[in-house]
This record gives sequence, C-alpha cells and structure tokens, in this order.
Amino acid sequence: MKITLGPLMHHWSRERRRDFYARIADEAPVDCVHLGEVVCSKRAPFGDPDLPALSARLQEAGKEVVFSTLAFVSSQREIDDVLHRCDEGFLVEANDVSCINAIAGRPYVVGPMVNVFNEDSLTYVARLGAIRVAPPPEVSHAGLAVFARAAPLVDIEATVFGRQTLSVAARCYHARSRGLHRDNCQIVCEQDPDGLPVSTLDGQPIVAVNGTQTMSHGYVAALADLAPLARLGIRRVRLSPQDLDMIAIATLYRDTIDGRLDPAEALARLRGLTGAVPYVNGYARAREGMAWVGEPA
Amino acid sequence: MAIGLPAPVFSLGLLLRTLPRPILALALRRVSAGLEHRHAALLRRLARLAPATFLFEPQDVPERFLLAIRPRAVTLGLAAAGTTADVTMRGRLATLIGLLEGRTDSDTVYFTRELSVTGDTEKAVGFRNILDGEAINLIDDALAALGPLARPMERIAGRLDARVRRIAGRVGALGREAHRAAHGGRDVMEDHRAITAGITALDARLAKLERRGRRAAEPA
Amino acid sequence: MTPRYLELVCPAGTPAALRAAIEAGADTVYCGFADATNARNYPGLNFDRDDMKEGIAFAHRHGRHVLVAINTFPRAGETAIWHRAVDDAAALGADAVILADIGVLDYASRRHPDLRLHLSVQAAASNPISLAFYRERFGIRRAVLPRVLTVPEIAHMVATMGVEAEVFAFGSLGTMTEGRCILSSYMTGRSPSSDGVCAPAEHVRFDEEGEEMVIRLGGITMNRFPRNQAAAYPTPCKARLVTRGVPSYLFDEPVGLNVIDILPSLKEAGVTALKIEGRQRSRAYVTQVVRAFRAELDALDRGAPSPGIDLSGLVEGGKETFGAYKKGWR
Repeated sequence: MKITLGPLMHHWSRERRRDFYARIADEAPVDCVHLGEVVCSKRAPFGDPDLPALSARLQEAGKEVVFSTLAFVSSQREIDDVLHRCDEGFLVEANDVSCINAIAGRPYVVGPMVNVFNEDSLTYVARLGAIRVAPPPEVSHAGLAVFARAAPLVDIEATVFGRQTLSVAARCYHARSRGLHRDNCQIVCEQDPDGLPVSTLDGQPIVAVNGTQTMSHGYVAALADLAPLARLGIRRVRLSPQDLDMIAIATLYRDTIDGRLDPAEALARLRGLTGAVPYVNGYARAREGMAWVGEPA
Repeated sequence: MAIGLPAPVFSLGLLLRTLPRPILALALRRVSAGLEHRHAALLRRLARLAPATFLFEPQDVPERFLLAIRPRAVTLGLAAAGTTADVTMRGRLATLIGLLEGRTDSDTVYFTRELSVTGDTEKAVGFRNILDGEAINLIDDALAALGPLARPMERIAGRLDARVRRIAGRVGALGREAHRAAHGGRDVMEDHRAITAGITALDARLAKLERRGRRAAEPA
Repeated sequence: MTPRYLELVCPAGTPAALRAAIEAGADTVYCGFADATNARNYPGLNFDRDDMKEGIAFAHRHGRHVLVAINTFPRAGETAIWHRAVDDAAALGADAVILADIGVLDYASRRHPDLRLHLSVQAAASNPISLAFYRERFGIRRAVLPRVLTVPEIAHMVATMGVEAEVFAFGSLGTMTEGRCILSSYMTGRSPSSDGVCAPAEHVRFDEEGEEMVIRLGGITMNRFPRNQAAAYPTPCKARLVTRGVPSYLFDEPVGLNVIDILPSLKEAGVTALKIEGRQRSRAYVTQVVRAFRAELDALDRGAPSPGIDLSGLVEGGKETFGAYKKGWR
C-alpha cells in the first residue's frame, strides 16, 4: 500500500512551506507528494516561486510529485492557472471538472472535490485518462470497494488522515470573520495554519474555516481501517497535511501498513501527536461524518 | 406578512371563545367525521404519518385542538389539559387556519416567528407538505359537517359574517341535539328556554369581546 | 443582440403547487420524483409516477413545460434508481430533465438521445471550460448557473458557453457552491448530494428554552433566537457560530435572493430563463412569487415601469439580497 501526502489545504507562509516539504523529502516515508494551491487563487497570485525547487527536491528523494489544481475555478486568472498546470508535464490532480476537460486524453488524478460518487462516474473519468481517483469524503468504505471492483486499473485512494473538506465556496469566510471582503482579504487565512476553529453558540467545536472552504473539526484517523481497506482492493491511502508533526504521523501509518505496529497502539501514539482534536470516521461507515465508530481514541 | 387573512377567521375566533365546551367537542367530532367523505385522498396520504398526534395551540383562543392520525382514522378534537403530542404548533388562530388551508406559507410564518413548531420535525414537515398538496377549506368543511340549521344560535352570530353565521347556526342545532340526548324526554320548551337564556348570556359576552377585538385591531 | 424573452421557471413540490404555478403564470415548472433522485427530498413532498403524468398533461394542456429534476448524485451501487427516474421522465413526456451526475448524464445522453438535458446547479459548472465539458460530451442544452457569479461574469459566461443560461431569481440562497457542500451530512449522515436533503427534518429540533427558540441539527446547536427575532432555516450555512469568541452568521445572514430590481441587467446579460427556488415551499408562496414575477416580466417586455411588488415578507429573515450578482458579496 502506497502513501500519498495530499495537497496542503491550509495557507502557510512561504518559509514554513519550504521547510515542511524539505523535511518531507528527507524524512517522511511517503511515496507521493501533492504540491499546488487547491483552495484560493489569491494565496499565490503569481504562482508559488518555490514549486520548481520543491518538486525537484521531492523527486530526487524518490517521491512522485503531483500538482493539485484549484477546487473553485471561475475567474479568467483561475482558468489560466488550471490550464497552465496541465501543461507543465507533471501528473495533475483535477479538483474541478474544468481541469478534467483540459487534461482529458492524458493521465491525471481526480481529487476528492470532484463529485465522483459512483461507479458510472468513476468509469467515465477513467475513460478520459484518470489513473487514480481520491473519492469525496462522503463515499463510504463499502462504496470504495464498489469503486475498486468497477475500475480495477484505477488506483482508488482512500483518505485516512486529516480534516475533511465539507464545503467549497466563492465567498471567503476567513475574510468575513474579520469583517473583510474576499477582494481585500489581507490573506488573513495565513494566521490559522490548521484552520480557524468554529464553535456553536453552546461552545461545541464543530468545523474549521479554511479561507473559502469549510473543513471538519475532527481529524480522520483511519489507522484501524488500513488492513480492511487493503482487503477491499485499495492500494493507496492519503494523508492530508495538518499543522502537526506529519513525519511522525506518516511513520505511524507506514509502520501500521507494514505490520510493524498494531493499529490500536498506532492510534494511541497518534493521540499523543494530535492533541485534543476529536477523531472522526463516520463517513467511512455510511454514518454522519463527525461520528467516531470504534474504541475511544 | 399576513397572507389573505380572511374575516371569517376573526369571527371564528370569537365563536370558539364563546361556545360551551361540550358543544364545541361535538362539533369537532362531526367535522372530523365529515373529512372522510370530503377529503378521502388527503386522509390516505396523512395515514402515511400514522401514528402521529398534532396539538394546535391558538394563542388567542382558550381551547387547544388535538389531531390524531391513526392508520385508519383521523380525528380532530379538543385537547384535555396536560395533553402532549408528537408535534405542537402554536400561533394565532388565523395563522393556524391559514396553514391548514394552504393559504399561508409555513416557512414565512416560521421566519417571522408567527408560528412555533416543536416536537417531531419530520412529522411536522410531512404533515405540512401533505396538507399543502390538497386545497381544503376548513370553514366550508365545518359547514358541510355540522348538519341542519337552527335559528337560536344564528342570533348570536348576528354581527358575524355570513359563513361563520352559518356555522354558528349549525353548532346551535348541534347543541340542542346534545341537550336532548342528554336529558331524554324532558320538556322541550323548558330546554328551549334554558338554551335561549344561555344564548342571551353568550350574546352579551360576544358583543363585549367583539368590541374589545375591534379596539385591539385598531392601529395605535 | 436583442434581449430575448425571459422564461419563468417555477418550483412545484406537489401537484397542487404545479397547478398553482401554472395558473399564476409560470412558463415552465420543475419538479421531482418522491425519492433521493431529486434535491428536495423532504417528507410528504414530490411526485409519484401518476402525479408526474398528470402534472405534465396539465402543463401541456396549458401550453407550458415541465422539467424533471434528477439532480442528485447516486451512491456507489445505487445508480439503477437514477436510471429508472430518467427513463420514466422521458416516457412520461417531460420537456427536459435536470441532471448533475456525470454517470447519469452519460446514461441519459446515450439512452435517450432525443431527451433535452439541462445541467443542474448541483454540477457547479462555474466556468466556460466546465460547461464545455457537459456540452460537448453529453449535449446539454441549458445550464443552471451557480449562485456565485456576478452579472458581468454571467454575461461573459453566456457569451462563451454555447448553451442557454438559467439563473436563480428568487428564494433561499445557500452560500456554498451548490453540489459541493456536505456540512449537513457531517452532522446528520444524510447527504444533500446523494439523499437529496439538506437539514433532514428527522434530525431537526426546534425547542423553546425559556425566552429562546433553539434550533438543533443532529443535536448540534445551529441557532438561538430571542423572542420576536426573525428566524433562519436550520441549515448549517445559516447557523450562528462562534469564531475567536465572537458569535456571528459566519457563512450568511438569513436573507433571501430577489432579483426583481436587476431584471433588466440579467436580460441584457443574455440569460434565457429565471429560476424561482422553493420546491419545499407551500403553494401560497409559489402563487405569490410567480404572480409577482409574471407581472414584473410582462411589464419589462412592454417597457412599462416595474410594478414594484414587495415579496420581502416571504424570504428568510424577511430580508432580501442580490446575492453574488452584485460585487462585494464574496
């Protein structure tokens, strides 16, 4: 089973991103790393100047590099950004149908923000060249099994760690929370490297705002599901970067996959790395996403 | 925003406030029995919600009404004190009748807080949607259900609009039937005098209420 | 370009609402089957096959059209229900079906080449390249545009998209991109995308606690309203939430969309059809909104001044907005 480090959903400073990916290249036991901005075109208005260097370093370290593209594409600049990505020679992850249309005929990856909910949509995008599909968070593990059977040549990538994207929008809630408009947002999303915590009026933490996206408050932590997923025909799993020691976390997953670590022990160690944030796995079990089914972690 | 608030509802409120409880209860039994003939398809659809109970609490009327949906029967009656139900709908009588008849948009009166719905929301939403699929007119239904006219009660309603006056008349007849049934072979004239005296008292109370109602309705 | 006739597309959650919409002046009515294949899958709502047949016949007798919304995303292993819905809509004489899922679009375009396909707003086609995907591959004839575009952006889209544009004119305004929000299923397990229901009624509670009305979704507090304060829908995007200790309507205030005041500019932008939201609303709402828009559109056609009909009482929070159509909303 291969491990992918998904695209960084949160907005980190340039220095921090550089340090993060340098360490990932040197130390993280992952097979594939996604680079590129998914959430907001304003975060890197002229593209990320470090991308060529970072991708080269990751490739030298033996990692496959995939360029992720924007999930919400509307303005001409956003369209140009997607089209440009498709022509850079890297494997591209489509997070909007526009990207699929632009890259159709060449190999590509479908990200979790494209609505591929069933085997018919899956085989359709596969006919257009998709070699790997990370289905949306709502697709249960039973659904992933249907996917794996329907398209045996496509790698179905299950997300097994991190916050889940729950909504995509044109409006920026990070800016709105500061009384700003998106057009003049001052990139306030950079102040919350793991997302802006959002609670109910009764004080219950519920979601995290990440610019124009809303993410789950709970982290997916599917360590116990790795072996069952492998039995369903899942050959790849994805970790979504959070503001945590992702190298240690990737190592826990690698060791669990390789049978060096018992899943329960791995989960207990994960708890030590993630603080008090609750874990969720409801969607995987066709339940409400925020549910945690299993031993308390 | 009040949508097409009809005059009869205002008068009906007055009537509900003034009618003796047993007569009202009997009238409601007649109305719910009549529903089966007039709205058979609606009742079939409502039966999908069974078992379900709906408590209507008009804030401007002392009575509460209980609608009980069972697989084979839908009954409307007065709610005894302390009655609870799957769903409670609270609002002015006009709002509640407007909702039941589909003249009022429930989301609108929810947004404006003219309607409060507590309890089992799934049943409440199902009830609203099923009801909204059929044009019903509660006042015509009441008229159809209440049977033959009787004069004395109509006098009470002298100031009310025509439709409510006709209901009042039929409820009056019902009252006399109820009285007769309860008192067997007693002197009909005696009964009639008693009813007339009762009606005169109600008449005075109604007039007072109507004056108060009009004052309340005038802009401050 | 001469601005074309603006088609008025109106919601019907029940056969009674369909008749009400047509009597009030709708050109076209959209509705769905009573199951997860449509995005307003609420209890007691929608059409069984006989209702649909009668509804379509009624509309056609009056020279109007019916669009059948099959605009949700089947879960893995459940596509047959959606295929049957498409087959039945075609057999019952629907003037078009409104679809969102790539697999369902593929099925409909292959199996029913003569059936007119509209792209649902749930497909979230927010740029001309996405629209080209659906146009070139499935032959869609019309797209319902996401409620996130400004009027100039719509004009640009219309000029480049090569299919008719339908835009939202009135009703509830979600702030998230349609078809790309699963907040409700995160809390309840039932999905707007695949179950066709946001804030499913069986997970919604309205409780009176002292002077407050409390709304909960899946046990999660969405809002607390003091007495007499206008209420919002129990959906997560209309929740009052707390960031950095400050409560606010983080995603959107309880407001409703109304474009009556910008109808001329939408017409100028080349829009083909105006969509009234609200299949979950009553026929009283349908009648009032459709009648108002009919009067406004007729006046616009004649070059007469706007009748200026006030619909603010019907919208969420009693407050109206132009939504994303005006700059600054984002």
